[in-house]
Amino acid sequence: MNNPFKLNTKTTWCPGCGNFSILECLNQTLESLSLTPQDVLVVSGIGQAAKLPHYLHAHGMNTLHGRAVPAAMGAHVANPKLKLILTSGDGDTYGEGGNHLLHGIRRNLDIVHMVHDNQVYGLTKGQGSPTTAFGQVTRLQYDGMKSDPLNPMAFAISIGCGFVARSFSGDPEHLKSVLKAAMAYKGYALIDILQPCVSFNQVNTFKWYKDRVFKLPETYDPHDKVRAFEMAQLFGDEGIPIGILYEETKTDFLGRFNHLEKPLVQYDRSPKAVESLLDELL
Amino acid sequence: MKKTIVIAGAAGEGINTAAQFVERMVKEKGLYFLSYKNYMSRVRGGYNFTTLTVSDIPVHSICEEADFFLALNDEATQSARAHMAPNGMIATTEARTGEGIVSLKSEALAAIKNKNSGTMAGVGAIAAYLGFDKENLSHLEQAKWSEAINQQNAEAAALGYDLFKAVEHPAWQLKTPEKPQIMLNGNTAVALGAIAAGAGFYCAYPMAPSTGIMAYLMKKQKETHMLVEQAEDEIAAMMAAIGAASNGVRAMTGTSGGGFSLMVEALGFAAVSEVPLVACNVQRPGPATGLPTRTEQADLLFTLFASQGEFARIVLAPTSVSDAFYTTFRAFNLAEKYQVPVLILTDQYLADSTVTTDRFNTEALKIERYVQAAPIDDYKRYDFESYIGNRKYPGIDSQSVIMTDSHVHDVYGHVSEAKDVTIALKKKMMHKMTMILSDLNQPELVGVSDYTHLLIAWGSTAGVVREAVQLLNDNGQKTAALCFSDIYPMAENVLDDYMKPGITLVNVEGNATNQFGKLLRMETGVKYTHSINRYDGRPFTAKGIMQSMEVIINE
Repeated sequence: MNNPFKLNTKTTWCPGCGNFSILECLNQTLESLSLTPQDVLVVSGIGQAAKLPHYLHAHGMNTLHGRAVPAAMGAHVANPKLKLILTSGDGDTYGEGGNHLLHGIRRNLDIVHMVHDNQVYGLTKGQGSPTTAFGQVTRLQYDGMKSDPLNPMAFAISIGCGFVARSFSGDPEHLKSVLKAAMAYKGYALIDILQPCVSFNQVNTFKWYKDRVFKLPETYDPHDKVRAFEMAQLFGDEGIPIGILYEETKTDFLGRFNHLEKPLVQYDRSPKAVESLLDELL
Repeated sequence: MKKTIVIAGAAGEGINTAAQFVERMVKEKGLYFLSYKNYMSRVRGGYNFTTLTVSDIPVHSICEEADFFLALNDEATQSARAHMAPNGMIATTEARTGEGIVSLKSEALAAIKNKNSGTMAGVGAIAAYLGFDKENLSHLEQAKWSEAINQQNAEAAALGYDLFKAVEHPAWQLKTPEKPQIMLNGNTAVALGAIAAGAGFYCAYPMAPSTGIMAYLMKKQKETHMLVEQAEDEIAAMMAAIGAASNGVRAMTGTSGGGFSLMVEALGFAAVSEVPLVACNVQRPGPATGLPTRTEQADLLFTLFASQGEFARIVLAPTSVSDAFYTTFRAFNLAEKYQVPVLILTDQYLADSTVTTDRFNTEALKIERYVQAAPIDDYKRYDFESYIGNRKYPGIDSQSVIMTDSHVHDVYGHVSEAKDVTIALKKKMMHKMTMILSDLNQPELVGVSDYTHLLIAWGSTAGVVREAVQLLNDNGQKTAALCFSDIYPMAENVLDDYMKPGITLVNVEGNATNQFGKLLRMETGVKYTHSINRYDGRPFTAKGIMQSMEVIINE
């Protein structure tokens, strides 16, 4: 049987782009969980990665640059029965959407947030992103980046994200296993997915990542926050750990509203609801 | 018959408490009132006052001249003189005497060791002034205070009542209205309109003077089965509302001009993705931070034209607290019918005015969702030929897959740059504007039919203008007012029935640039010849408009 999530659409991604692998891994993971396209809502912002909802068969929301997280929050509170996936790039998530990421994590939305992190802007053609290395030359920053790069893993752990993971588009089996664990996690699951940008990042190439990533050992305990924070510091020539860096069980956003018995979308509503409130104003 | 009470002092001296007690007494007597807070953007100190106009007919305008002025400190006592109506009385918590000034101080009052005793004595004096029975003071307690405090307050109020009762003052009688009245402000009316419309989600960022909407909805979210969330910023607030609305839940956001500036980004997304969104902009004076706690009507054209690109939107501006309820209710039906953003424009004056008004009637209200629940083969979410009732959202049936998109998109919601798709999408958005017109209300004409002067007003100013026309016509003038609550889209012929040879058109707006007047001219070609504007951050008053009109009429 064909994968019900697969669409034979032409993409606007460059040949060799890491996005292809990420899309394929997502499709396979969704199918492996016996989900149907009607069960899944894929939300994105704007950018090359954010085009992904158009390239698979499921409910989708292709929103605005940086604004996928709050849109996903609204969608989630309306209908939490939908398996919610957010897929966007490093510029979208950590740059324009940085504030929303911070507060989405604080709320602990039940969401799988996949960040396609290629350390560069793709759709706008090669400017530095929040994860571009200090001093790295880009098409715009000819004299090198003047800001320090964001460490998304340390950031997420420090603000209380309950599922913090990193994977690599060049290792589909690893990515699928992390995705599967993220889907099973109840709460905000942030996955920073390293991927090469074949067009605009000549530094962080497929080989560059391949030579540096290493899987966290089986003995690694993701519940040790201090250790996780330590591991999150590793990036670059000293090696890049991939896997679930940190995991913690905590009540998800809707679990914090105990007055709702069912999804908001399922309530029958009537103008009569104001009658008792009007009585109070008499 | 109308009486105006002013309670003035510094923030933290109990103006709100005193005003709430007086409002409660007036309401229990079954009278109409409009109470408006004139406060500075600070938590303590400053010079604040609340104006309460009490009447036996509905009140839309405050009066700036006090018949009774309660001064809670020395500064207020000194400034009272400038705000008095003829024969007005001043009561002060200070030891001051003089013509028309009554000091509430007494040994008995000083013996009550409670920082609010002076304020409470003032409440008692107001009850005496309004001709209420001493009995009416018996309900002056607050559950949040201890019994001892409530007891002390009652004693202080009784002292003030007795003291003022002995002072010579004009006696007056008000007719009691027939129906029991509800008491609320404009923000609460908007919130109730949303609840009546079946809103399930409200998301906003705190910003004066709009926060009251969120505060009320938050307080009631359990019994209304809503979810109310404070967003990290206004972009998030509107995006979250869009996220919920596109998934089948009626959703709303609210803010003031500065926050609406942020929301502009999301507004176009709601439009192009045909998501039914309701947003309220409670105007305050801008630009930038402006005057956070004061009023203005200067966001009209901004609200009308906000966002890049061209698309259909609806702009509604309720003219009274009651209208705010019904208009907000309608906004949700309109949003879902046409799948467009509906923007409700109120202002600090309407939002913060507490009134008594007839209980809202829900009998005629019907929630209309315009959705397609049955599965459809080859469903086209954005069918370019289908305008009303074709809406589906994720999960509405077991087979559809729904795409919501911010680009120019094809009928399935997928990105397209094709010329024919671009044109079809544009035409659809533009055609909605024409269709919407049939669902909007005509402006309401008040006054005499053989008018020589026609006043034009919109939003909260229309309520005030209504009273001004009454005052003018009582003085023998022939005036009428055209009151706009539904603002946009606007029909080209909207003025046709009202423009008569020889009449003078006077535009009345709470801004400096006559934004509505410009809109009228743009859409109808008709230009006003005179205008009355107020832009000092304070609301119009009926008397003020009447005086400006007399100058215009006598030209």
